[in-house]
Amino acid sequence: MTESTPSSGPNSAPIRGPSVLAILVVPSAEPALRACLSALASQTYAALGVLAIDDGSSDDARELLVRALGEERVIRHDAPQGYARSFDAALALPVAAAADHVLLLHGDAVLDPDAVASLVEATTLAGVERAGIVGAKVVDLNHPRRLRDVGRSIDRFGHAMSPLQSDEIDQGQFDRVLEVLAVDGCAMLIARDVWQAIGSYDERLGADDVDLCWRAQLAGWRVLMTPRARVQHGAQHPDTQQDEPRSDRYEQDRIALASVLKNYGGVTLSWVVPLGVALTLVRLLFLSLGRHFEEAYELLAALGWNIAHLPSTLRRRRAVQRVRAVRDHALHHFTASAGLHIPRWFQTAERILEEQRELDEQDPGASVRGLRRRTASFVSVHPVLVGSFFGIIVGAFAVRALLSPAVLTGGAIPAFPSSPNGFFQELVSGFRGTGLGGSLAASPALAALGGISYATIASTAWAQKAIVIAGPAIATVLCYRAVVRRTGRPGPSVVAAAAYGLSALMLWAVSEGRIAQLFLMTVMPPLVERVDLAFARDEPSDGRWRFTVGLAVTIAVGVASVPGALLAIGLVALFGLLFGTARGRGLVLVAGAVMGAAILVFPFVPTIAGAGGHGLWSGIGQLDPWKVLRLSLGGAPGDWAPALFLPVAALFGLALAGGSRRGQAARAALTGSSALGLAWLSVAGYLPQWATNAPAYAALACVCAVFMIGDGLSSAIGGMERSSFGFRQIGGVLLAIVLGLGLSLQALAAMVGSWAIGDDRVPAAWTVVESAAQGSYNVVWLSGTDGLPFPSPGGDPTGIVSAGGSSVTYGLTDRSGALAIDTGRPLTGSGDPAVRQALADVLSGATVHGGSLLAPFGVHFVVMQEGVVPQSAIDAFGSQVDLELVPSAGLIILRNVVDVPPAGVLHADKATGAIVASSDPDVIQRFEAVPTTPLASNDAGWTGGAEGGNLAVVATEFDGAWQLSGSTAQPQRSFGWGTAFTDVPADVTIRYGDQLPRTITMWLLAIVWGAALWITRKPVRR
Amino acid sequence: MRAGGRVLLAIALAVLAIVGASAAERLGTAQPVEAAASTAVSSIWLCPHGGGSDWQGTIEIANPGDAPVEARLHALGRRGPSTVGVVVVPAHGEVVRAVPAAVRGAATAVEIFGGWAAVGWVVRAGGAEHGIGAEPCTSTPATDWSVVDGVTTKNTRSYLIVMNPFASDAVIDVALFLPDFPPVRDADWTDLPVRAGRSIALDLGSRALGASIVGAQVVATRGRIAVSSLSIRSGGGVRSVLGSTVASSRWILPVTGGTGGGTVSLLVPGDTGVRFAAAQLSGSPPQTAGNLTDVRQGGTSTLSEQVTTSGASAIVVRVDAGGLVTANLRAGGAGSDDAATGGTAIPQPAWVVLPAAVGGSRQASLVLVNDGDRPVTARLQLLPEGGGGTGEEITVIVPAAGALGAPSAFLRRDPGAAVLVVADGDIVALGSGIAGADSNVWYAMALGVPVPTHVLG
Repeated sequence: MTESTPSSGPNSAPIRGPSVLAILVVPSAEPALRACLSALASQTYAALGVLAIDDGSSDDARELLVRALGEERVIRHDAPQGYARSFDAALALPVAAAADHVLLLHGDAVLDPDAVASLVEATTLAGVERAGIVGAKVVDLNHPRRLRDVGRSIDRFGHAMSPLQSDEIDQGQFDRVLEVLAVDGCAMLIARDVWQAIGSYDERLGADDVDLCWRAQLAGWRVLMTPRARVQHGAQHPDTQQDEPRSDRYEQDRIALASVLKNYGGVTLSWVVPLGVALTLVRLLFLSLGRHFEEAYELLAALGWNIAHLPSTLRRRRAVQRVRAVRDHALHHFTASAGLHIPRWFQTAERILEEQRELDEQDPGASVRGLRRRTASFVSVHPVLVGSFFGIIVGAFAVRALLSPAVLTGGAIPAFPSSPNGFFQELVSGFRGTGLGGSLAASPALAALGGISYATIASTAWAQKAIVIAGPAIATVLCYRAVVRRTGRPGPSVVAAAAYGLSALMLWAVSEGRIAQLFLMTVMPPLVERVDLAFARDEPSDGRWRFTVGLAVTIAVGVASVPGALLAIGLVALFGLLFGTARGRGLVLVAGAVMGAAILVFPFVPTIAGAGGHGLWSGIGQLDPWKVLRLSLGGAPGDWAPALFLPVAALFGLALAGGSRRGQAARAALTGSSALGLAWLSVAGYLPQWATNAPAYAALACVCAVFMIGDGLSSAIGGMERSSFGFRQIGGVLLAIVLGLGLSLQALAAMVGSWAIGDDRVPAAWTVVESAAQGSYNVVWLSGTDGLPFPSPGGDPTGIVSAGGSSVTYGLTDRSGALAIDTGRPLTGSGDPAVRQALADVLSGATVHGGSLLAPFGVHFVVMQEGVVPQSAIDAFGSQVDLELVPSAGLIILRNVVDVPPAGVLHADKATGAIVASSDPDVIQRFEAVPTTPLASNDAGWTGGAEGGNLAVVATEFDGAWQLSGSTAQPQRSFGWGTAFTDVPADVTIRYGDQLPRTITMWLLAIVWGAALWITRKPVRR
Repeated sequence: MRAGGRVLLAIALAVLAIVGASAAERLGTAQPVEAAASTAVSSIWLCPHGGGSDWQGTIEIANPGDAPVEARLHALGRRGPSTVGVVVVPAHGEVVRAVPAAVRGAATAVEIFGGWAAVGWVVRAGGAEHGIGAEPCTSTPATDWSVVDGVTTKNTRSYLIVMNPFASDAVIDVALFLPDFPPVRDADWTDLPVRAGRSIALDLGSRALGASIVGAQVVATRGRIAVSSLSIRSGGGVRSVLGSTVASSRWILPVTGGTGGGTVSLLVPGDTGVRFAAAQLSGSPPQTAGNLTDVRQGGTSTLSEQVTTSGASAIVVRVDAGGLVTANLRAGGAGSDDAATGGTAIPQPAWVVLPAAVGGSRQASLVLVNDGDRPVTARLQLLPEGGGGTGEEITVIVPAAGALGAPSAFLRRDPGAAVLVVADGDIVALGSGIAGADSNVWYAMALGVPVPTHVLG
């Protein structure tokens, strides 16, 4: 070591202070090395020595170092050791121990001339005792106005947190000495007492500054960042000797966990570790759901590394705790929340306003102009942040009523099972446990619902809220991403996505708690964008194979939630085929994707395709064409005239779209218009059943409108000031006015409106009746054919009974009402036509024994809403001798006198047995109530005591696979569609004997999904 | 697409949206498909016939269809319902079945499966009481009923028979309307429960004694019921009148088989009074019935007026101003027995007229009333016990604004048979029966049962 020669500087004097040894580690002769050496030579600080380590460089780094510093000041490593080991090696030299401070310096760090002096100066600042480590303000080597580091904190789990935004410009906002948890190690001044007390870097973690500084803090030293010492630093280099560097995620998690295990005290560890494990599981789930499989693997690998290195970690922990001088809570002011990082743009916005206030006092006229300009500039630079800010405010107000601990009820929200297992049980079950049974498979969407339920600490109630609350936000984000992919303009995309999030359709879906519709609206923007892209001129950027599989996954998600999504996809593809550029390729890709989607939901395909495409049907909607025009399918906040802003703005967008966006905007216009028309025709009953689905068409129309807005805004904003005054300017202003007013009013409606769902929103009449009735039973819900859902908790209609002026829509549920485990699954199988026939018989007025006709379905109540069901239908049901009107306000509730549970053992005489064996409604209507012992349902079927009964009857579709345990009796067809066993034993257990095929099917499905997700996985950042 | 084209397309789409929405608004929904013919056909008939000690009750079921139907009979009374039996009614035939009628509130419910059948009752008094009463049963259980045939003067006891054959309790409010007094709404008859599967008798004399005519309105505030009136004279005489579920401004009250003396009764249940007149239709041109020309009657009151009829005829009550009314015609028989009918407000083209008397040595008569302005041709066919029909039918022409008795020779072929009447216009049919001989002659009238159009194809 040799002390440097003092050099003259503009404001420095050759005064000797504490000695500083700069330890320069050079892995290679980067272009910055010359500048680095030059900067060292230019330092104004007198007592500075330099020791360089050539860390196995393979270029001319050593030659440069020797030429600049001399042979004796350069240590050569034959093989790269990394910063940590190199610094360790240097500190082991006596010369390091002789210096009052060491300055750890990277070979690509270029110090300002007075940087070392400023660093040393900071150690002696008045009022700052025990300043052990001092770091510099680090800026980018190539863009010196961009800040790279001004000190860091950590979250509770040891992850480093920087207060800086990406590429944040240095405007002097951090120009004060800051006490921080850690500073950047590219130029770090460490007092001798510090490194001798706590040691150097933990070489296992590389040159991890946070760990080193954290240990210094624990030992009672302060860590400072002084902005007067500025360092320009090149790109970060991984401090590793691995041939293939691991991902950022791996390194961050590995180091964070190791640091936590070493540095936290026992009390803190006792809660941080369990919480960290839980959050890690959640992260794993979300990474998996987001197809970030490699990141998930890296996370697991980081955990594995820490487990494997636990003994060495514990050894180091003992060393750390031995020199501990402060408790953990003394450092809490350096830690940030792990989940919420309030963007610094709040501070920026505040600063703008503060500066503006000062300007206002000087020049009122200029101030307004300045504020406008600066605000516009800020919004244009950070449109996503601004949009998110307003989105959070609107969302927080809007959902405030949904945040209570109670389970959401009302609207059309389906009841969730009591535990997440309920979703998976139904998914893998060989028979349908709801409706009228059957062996058709449940929707794969149940896996997603179950996964979400597990993610919300295994609470299905919270899962329900999470979907309703987060669903619109996620849909809006995905819409933004779709629009920005389409237009390449973030600002217009934010506005377009906001229009989507505040559309009448979205607010209706939220208000009614339409889980499936929210899923559909989440996938619809990327779905339409992808299908559109398939027909576009340019090849998909991610390759045809990956594109097709990705589109298949998206389609599968949509179809699993709302099978009618296929209709929307078909419509987009049709217009792509008619007006697209690459029709052949588009057709191949979309057809391939649809086939892929069919494979991804292959057990569910027969369910959808059954009964002539009945699965695609939805009877929900609004008859008023003016309301359909503004994309409103039902009463909800935002279902008012201002909702018309969306189609109006879309038309302006179409008119303004220019350049390459003209064609796609026109195609979106034609597709959206057709979808709107089909939506109304669906509700009005003009389409065949398989093509009737207003919510799917409306969702498509909504996305098309939003795309048109994005196209128009993108075209209008770009270069407006350079084009001559004309329609573009006028149209742009009008579009801005329409969007401004529309979004504001819709936001207001969302914030102050009352949702149909909430706490205790089930009609009191039904609550009273439902709670008074004992045991299991089914309910038939009836509504008119004008698109209205059933009163809560009946959910949506599953079919229509055509009976002239008495036509009604109907649904059949158990006493809980609509169930989430029936998501995407219609009432199908042989039971559905039978129940429809029974209802038609009643509506025809030919029979007065509707109760007997409905008894085979376990129907105990028929529920209608006053003023919704045609009076002739109400009269028809009211005239049934075995349906008794239950006094109730607002609802018409009829109790079935012929009370047969969904599963029970009948004391049947010969006549009753003959009726049960018959499929003729004329015979079934003679069915009379007989003593019956109900059977309880379980995962495998039903069980209970016969109590002297002799005929077991189950309201589940006949299937030869049903077995009566302890008996050789074969199942028989009851009432033409159900299942019955004669000569039942005293203990009755009815179980499904054909589970294996479904189990195999589900494993295959899991494999198929695994393959699809692996193909479309998101690459990890390295 | 050029800029101008885009603007034009946007305008075209806007226009299309407005025009389309307007057209859609006008177009409305698609006409729903009619329901397919139901394979399940059933009906229920409620027969609040009443009874008494040693009374005999009879239910008559006539099947005008081409296929046999099954009937399930349930007896109601003070105790719960009991199944009387299941009978098969042959095609084009009739079944007569005795039912319990030992208590005043006795009633019978008849479920019909597999087709349509007309059901009626005949009760024959026993013990110290004499006479017969007959009426059609009703297939429309309802909540609002009114009847105006009660007499609570000396020697006459009138009852309301209220039956509730359903599985839920009914709760009723009863209001009695009198000629000269305000309506009686007794607390005991307000919120009066009629338990499920039961039938009760309410003695009008216990609440309104000494009234020459008592109208009653029974409203079920909960449940569904059927109501009739049963009147018994101590000197001999029984009559039954099925309550009416509607009030109307026009009533047709056919009569046949009696002595010619009669009483028209009117109930004005609303607060608004009425101005009405009554005409008699017969084989002759219409003429005023009694003194019933431009009669004014106050609201919430009853009125009864003597009229004289000649043979098969009808009294047509027409309200010219004011509210709606319920009417009744009481006719004297050859013996001490009398008969009554509530008539109908709605003529129909097809009727099944059930026998109004049971037992041996009976005589039947049948009147067809045409209050329209053109003659109506009617075909009559017997529906005998055991089914099969006679294979013969006769055709008669009922003059416009007139009434016609069915040829007695035709009816004599089988006095116990029901008669199917099918006309080419709207008419009203009523049958009467006389049973017994010498001093024990019993007389009853029963309105026919309208046949739904789908039954006869």
